[in-house]
This record gives sequence, C-alpha cells and structure tokens, in this order.
Amino acid sequence: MNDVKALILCNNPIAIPGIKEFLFYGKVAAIGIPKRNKEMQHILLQLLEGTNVPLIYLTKQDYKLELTKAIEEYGATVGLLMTFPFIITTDILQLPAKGFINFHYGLLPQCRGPQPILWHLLKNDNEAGITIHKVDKGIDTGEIIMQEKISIENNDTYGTLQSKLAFLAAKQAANLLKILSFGTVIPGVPQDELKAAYYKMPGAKELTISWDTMTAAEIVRLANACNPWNKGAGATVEGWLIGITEAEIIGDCMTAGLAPGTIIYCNSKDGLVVKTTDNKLLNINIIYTNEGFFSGKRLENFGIKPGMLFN
Amino acid sequence: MLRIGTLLPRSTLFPALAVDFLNGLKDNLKRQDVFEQVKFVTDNIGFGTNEQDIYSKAEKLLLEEDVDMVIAFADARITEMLQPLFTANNKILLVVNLGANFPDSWQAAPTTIQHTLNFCMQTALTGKLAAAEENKQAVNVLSYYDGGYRQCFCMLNQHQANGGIPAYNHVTHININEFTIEPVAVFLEQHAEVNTLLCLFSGDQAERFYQHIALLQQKINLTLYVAPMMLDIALKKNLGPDFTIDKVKGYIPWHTSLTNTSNSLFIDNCKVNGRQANYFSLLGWDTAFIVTEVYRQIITGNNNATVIVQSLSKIVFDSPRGWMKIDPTTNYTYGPAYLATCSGNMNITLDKENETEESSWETFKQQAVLNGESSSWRNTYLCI
Repeated sequence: MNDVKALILCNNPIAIPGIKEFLFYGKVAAIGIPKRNKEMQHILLQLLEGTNVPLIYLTKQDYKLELTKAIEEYGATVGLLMTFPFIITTDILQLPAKGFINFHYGLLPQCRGPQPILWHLLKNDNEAGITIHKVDKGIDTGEIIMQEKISIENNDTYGTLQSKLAFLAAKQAANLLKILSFGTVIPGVPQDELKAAYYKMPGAKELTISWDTMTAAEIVRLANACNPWNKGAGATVEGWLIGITEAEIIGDCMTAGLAPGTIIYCNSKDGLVVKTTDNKLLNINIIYTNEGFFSGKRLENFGIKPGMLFN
Repeated sequence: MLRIGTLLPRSTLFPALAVDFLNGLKDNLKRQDVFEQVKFVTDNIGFGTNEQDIYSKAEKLLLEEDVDMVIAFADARITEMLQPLFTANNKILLVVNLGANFPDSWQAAPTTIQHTLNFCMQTALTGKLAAAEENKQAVNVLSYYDGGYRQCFCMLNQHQANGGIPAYNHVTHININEFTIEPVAVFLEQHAEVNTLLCLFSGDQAERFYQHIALLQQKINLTLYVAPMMLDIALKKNLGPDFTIDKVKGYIPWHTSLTNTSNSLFIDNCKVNGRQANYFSLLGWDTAFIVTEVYRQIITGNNNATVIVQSLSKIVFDSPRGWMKIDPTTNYTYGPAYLATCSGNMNITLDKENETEESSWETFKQQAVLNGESSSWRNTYLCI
C-alpha cells in the first residue's frame, strides 16, 4: 500500500465532508487555508482538535514559499485542492510525489471556472456534479480521474446544491483515497476541449432579473442560484433595489396589456404576485432588503402596490 | 485473440461458485464458436473483501497482462473504486454478481457493465406481492448474512411502500449452530392474526430456516414470501425427499422449468457435462453472450471500449432467462422476473401470468434511483 499524506488546501466549508474522509483514515499531512478566511479557520480548528494535523495560514504574497515549505516539512505525498483560490504554479505542482488533484464542484469540461455551482444553475443545466481531476498548468484543464453527476431539482438553491455536492465529494474522496493507496498510477482521461467552456465570476448584470426577457422559470432559477450567498436575485421596484430570495410560479396571468414585471397583488391575503414575460403569475415568497428578510406580502407596508412595476 | 482477465472469489457458502461460473462461461463461448479465440488470465480475490488486493490485481491485468477486458465476480460496491482505472485505460470492466446489492450511485461508467440476476428487483417485487395479502402485517425474518445486502431493503421497503406493516423483525445468528427462530415462533403463537413472513436466507441458513419453519407451519397457517436464493434448486436435494413445505412465493430471475429454447440448450449442456445448472452457471453462460459481442466488435477494428459498451445496449441477448438487455442509463443487465410458488417437496412452479415485462426493471430503477435512499449493514465479506 502506498503511503498517502495529503496536503489539503481549501477556502470553503463545502470541502469539510471531503476533508473528514481523509482525516478519518489518518491520511492528512496538513491543511492550508487563506489567512483572511476566518470562517474556515474557526471550523477547521474545531475539526482538527486532537488530531495533530497542522493548520497553515497562507497569504497571497507568500503562499508559494509557504506551500513549498509545508510539503517538505509535513512529508505531503499529494496535494488536494478543494476550492482553493490561489494558483498552484508548475514548480509547486511537481513537489508532491503524486502531484496535485483538484475537487471541482461542477462538471468538466463544460463548466470550468471559479463558480461552477452557480453557473450550473444560471445556465439552467439539468445536471451538476463533482469532478476530480489532476491539476496541470491550466485552470480546471487536467485529466479527469472521476466524475459523478446529480440532477438539479427545480427547487434546488445554491445552498442545497452545495450541500449535496459536498457529500458527493466525500464519497468520491473515499474512492480517490483507495486509488491513491492501492494504485501504481493515478488513472486519468484527457478532457474533451471541444466541449470545454470557462465561466468567470458572474457580474451584477447576470445576477439581476431582466423582467422583459426572462421567463418565470428562469426568474425562479436565478433566485435559487442567488440563495443564500447573494441573499437573492437583484430586482428594482420604484427605484428600490431588493433581492428576490424565493419565488414560485402559481398560475397563468389572464390580464392582457400589462407589462412584464407588473405587480398584480401585494397584500396579506394574496401575497406579492408579479406578471412575467411568459404571462405567468410569480409569487415572490421571500425578499431581502437592507432592513432584513421579509415575506413578499410585507412590501405592502413599504408602500408597494398593485400596478407598480419591477424593472 | 481476445485477452480476458478474470477475478474470481471463493465462497464457503457456495464452494463451487467460481467453478460453476467459469464452466457456464466457457461452455457458452464454445457454443458461440469463440472459445478458441479467447485467452483467459485468471486470478482469485479470496472472499472479495480485500479492496487493495482487488485493485492491485485489476491494475496488473490491465498494465502487465494487457487484457482487453476484465470480468470481476465481485460486489457492486467495488465498482466505483475500479471504474476510473478502466475508463482511463479504455478497457471494459464486467462486474458480475447476483444483484443482491446495488451501488450508492447508479450512474453508468462509460466502460463498465454490471451483469447481475437482478435479485434486488426480484425481492422488491416479492415485497410488493406480500403487501397484497389481506392482513398487511408481516414478520421479517432474515439471516445476518443476507441482511447485509440491499435486497433486504428492497423487499421490506416495497412491502411497506405498498401498505405492508412490519409486525416483528428477527435476524438469525451468523453461526449456524446458534440458529434459532424461536422468537418468531413465540411471536406468531401470541399473534394469531399475523401469518405472513418475509424471508431472506441463503445456503445452509436457508436449509435450516426451512427445516424450522416447516415444523411451525404444521401448527400455524403461514405464507412465506422469499428471496430468490430460497427458491434455489439445490435446496430440494439438500433438504431431502421427506421434506415438505407449503405456501412459499417469490419472484425469481430464472428456473430450470422455463421452456424457451435458450434455456433448453443451457440445461442440456449442463446435463451433458454432468453438471447441475444453477444461478452461477447461468451468470457465466450469459456473460459469454456479452464476451462474444465484445470479441466480434474488436476483430472488426472497434477498440473503443466506450463505443462497444454503448452498442451492447442495443442488443437483446438470447438468455436462458427468456431475454437479457443492458440498460443504457446504468449499464446494468436486466431480464424478466418470474413469480414462483413452492410447495410439497420444494416443488417449484412458475405462475402462468408472470411479470416478465421490461417495465419491472424500469419501475425498480425509478424506485431505487429516484428515491435515492436505502439501508443495509455492510458485510465485510462477499461470500462467506
């Protein structure tokens, strides 16, 4: 059996179930996080209590030097990236005997980039997944070791999908550990560049509802994609910017001549209901404002009335 | 020449498992006229419990022996570990077992085929059938060994999903000397209204169970809904000519009495060679159909394992089961389910109106895949 000692680099709680899998089998040499990430620091300090696994704090200025040192000092035989924001340069890639392996919380090669979960939702994909691949000099371009897909349900939010993928990653981590422990080579399949697409961090425009062009289903999907991390999909009513955190389609709009985005109801009985471009009635269940999270119908208290327009 | 690596287990419960499987495979390859074109490289994987051993041997077969495909008689759970190795090397992995387990993920790997007798599907149908009894309450009784397989979950789950109510659960000891169903007997004597049993046993535990329950059946009117291994033809011989039982029902994937031509050929072949046809030789026999097709494609120049596996799902194989197909969304083989009843001296008859449609597999798949939930304890062995 090969001696596996992983240096795990991460920046998001989505990595925790995967880390736990390696910790359970005593295969973690050290864990590194960006120094600025206090949330992960808090979680990992609790997780690592009593394990003798060191937690390394990395800075953007010195992380290359710090990683080089850590790989040697802790005898890491493989580097595992689980949402790590800094680029691992070619000279560092070669330091652990088995190189670096990335846990990409999305499907490759069709969804490369830093926010695959978000983009799977924004693109209205039917499937998301976890891809474990070798790290090469490109971003998310290395040979695929394993991949598992899951269906995106209509009511999946960014948060629920993230949780599902976190636990899927844990299962795949267990399989990866076996491959690292038992195999003489790490199997990998080159990515099909013809199917490859890279998605950068989305801007405000992509996270804002376009009432003139988006169908009711697309608005629901955008709201779900922004829930919880962005508090909701951006929307403006009477010049007031709010976030639409949760919405559902409740039927067809029979009233002709109304512009998409027109508020049909806004009261405690009917809720906050808006017409969409495909003539659906969209019930906006939860909104976010600077004053807090509210049920949609509470907008009545802020002076929002039927006939007003989201734009 | 097609080079095939085989990873075969040994089993205390079914000592002839590997031999029966290999005989079925080789016999049908001869019938298909491709036996001379196949070179076997065989290795054993003990009880199939040592993942490192299985992985190392599979890797050796691929990298050193340069085989075209590997047939591994192993639990479904090892598949996820091996898939990346085979996908990366563009080689076919054919995992064979009875289908008493299913993996956490049903997602098809591009070069992996799961060849089973769909025991989980059979037990799910049996559980559903038991729920149709007038009294919905049932006693669940199983061996510790059988409880480690998800066929147990399938039977109990489908019983309850269709209105059945578990009245009592009893798991027998793994040690045959400590086998008892006395708690079940006490419960049934105290609850005269309960007369349905859901039963999962294999091998000598099945024999012991039948011996005990037959005595109880003389006092209490009981209907037994059983797993496929409890309708295994070897039990008749092992229980002896004086043994009698009544009202035993269950779905099975195959039986010697099936009258299709392929089954006649299979049975006759076993007889000619002085062997008794059984589930393991059937698995080998059907494996030969798949191997033959792989061979035909490779000699015509198709060396793309993914394409070969995809193409297999378009074929209806002439299995002794009646038919066999490969489901393209999971790469699982599947075939009919036959409702069998057993009475007297373990005399098995197949119901005239059998559920042999393709819909059985689709229904089962939807239940298993969409629900995404299952439970079992994990056996640390494949076949003890």
